[in-house]
Amino acid sequence: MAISFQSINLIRTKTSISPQYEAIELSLRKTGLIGIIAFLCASFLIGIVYLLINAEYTSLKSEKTTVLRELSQYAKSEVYYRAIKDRTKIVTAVMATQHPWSQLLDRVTNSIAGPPILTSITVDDQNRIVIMLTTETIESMLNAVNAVITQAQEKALTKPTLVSFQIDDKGKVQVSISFFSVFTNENTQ
Amino acid sequence: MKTLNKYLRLYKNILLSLCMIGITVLGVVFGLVPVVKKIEGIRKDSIELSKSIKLIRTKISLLSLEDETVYKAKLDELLAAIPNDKSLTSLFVTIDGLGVNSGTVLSDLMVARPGAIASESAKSQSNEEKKIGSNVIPFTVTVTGSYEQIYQFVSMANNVRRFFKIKNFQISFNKASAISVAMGIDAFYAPQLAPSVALETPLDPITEQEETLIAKISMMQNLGKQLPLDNLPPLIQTEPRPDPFSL
Repeated sequence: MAISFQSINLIRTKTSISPQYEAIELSLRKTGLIGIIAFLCASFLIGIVYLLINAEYTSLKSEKTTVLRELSQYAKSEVYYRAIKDRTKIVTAVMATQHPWSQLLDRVTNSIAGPPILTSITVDDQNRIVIMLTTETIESMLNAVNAVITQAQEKALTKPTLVSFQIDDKGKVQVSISFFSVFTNENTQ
Repeated sequence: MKTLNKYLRLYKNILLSLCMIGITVLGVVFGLVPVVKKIEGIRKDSIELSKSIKLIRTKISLLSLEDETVYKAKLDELLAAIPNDKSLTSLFVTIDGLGVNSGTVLSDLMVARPGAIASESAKSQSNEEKKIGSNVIPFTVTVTGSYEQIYQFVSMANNVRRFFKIKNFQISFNKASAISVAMGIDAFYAPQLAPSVALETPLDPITEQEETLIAKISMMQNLGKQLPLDNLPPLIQTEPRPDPFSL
């Protein structure tokens, strides 16, 4: 093929690009395209999710307004309800402090000794019970004291203590015993 | 200018790619991230809303179990046992009723702290009062009767509304017929605190134990119940005197 001198152009019309640069360019183009596509897809998906979640939120809000309106009809009931809950706690606590002293009277008069041996029963603020017993003979007193010991062994009373012991000229025996009663408290919840 | 154009032409593709990457990054940072954060916020709010709706529905289902009047009646039963205020009237009526029902004669009734000059809020509670969550009105009374009557009084004292706690007493069996017993008794009252009726505050169901307690209290004799006004005897009408200071 004959080449004319006129067609020969020695001026460089194109700048040569290195293969390294081409590789970088290709990789950047790929990254850019993938990034844009991923961004668009993500935007689309996130947009859908946003719309769905927002719709759910709006519906929940309106549902809450409805239930609140419904609840407002029970406002008085709620006040009573809460007051009942509060009061039952107080009532339970108060009932736990009440002692069935009739149980004690039964126990003392039936299991330990009744009048005339039993002279007095005293209960103090600390729930300590003091019974005073008077007998003509020491044997009778022993029976009453044994009854106290039996009651203590049966865990019906605790900390039995002999407070005083006295025998007069005529052989009359007077004994004071203190203890704490164990109640099977019917009132305690 | 020529050089710039030359470079622009030369690096056109790479610049385009970099622009795409930049737009993507900016879109992610200023578009997607805030939207995702907002979605997260809405999701959290939705969860909270769902919880609160569930809670309110539970409250409605609990409250709709019984009528308002039933709740009020139950509360009244409890208030008869431990009233909101000192209610000395109900205290006196109940203790008097106990005396009548047990056949004992009551005397020397003395209320230790009938009324405080300061308001209730200024009143400091004792440890015992704090423990039980109720205020105490201590009083003493002398109960006279036979042993059986005293026994009756003591056993009935725990089974009446309003509530009493016998703190101390002494029974002497020296006299066979009539025994005089001085008793230290506590009566209780607890001012009703304004219940928090915040809509979001959960409501615990009334337990079976509490129902049993209310039923038990309602079975107790309410001696302090005041007569309805219709049952009161009519007032005696007298002619007004012309001179009120004349004998």
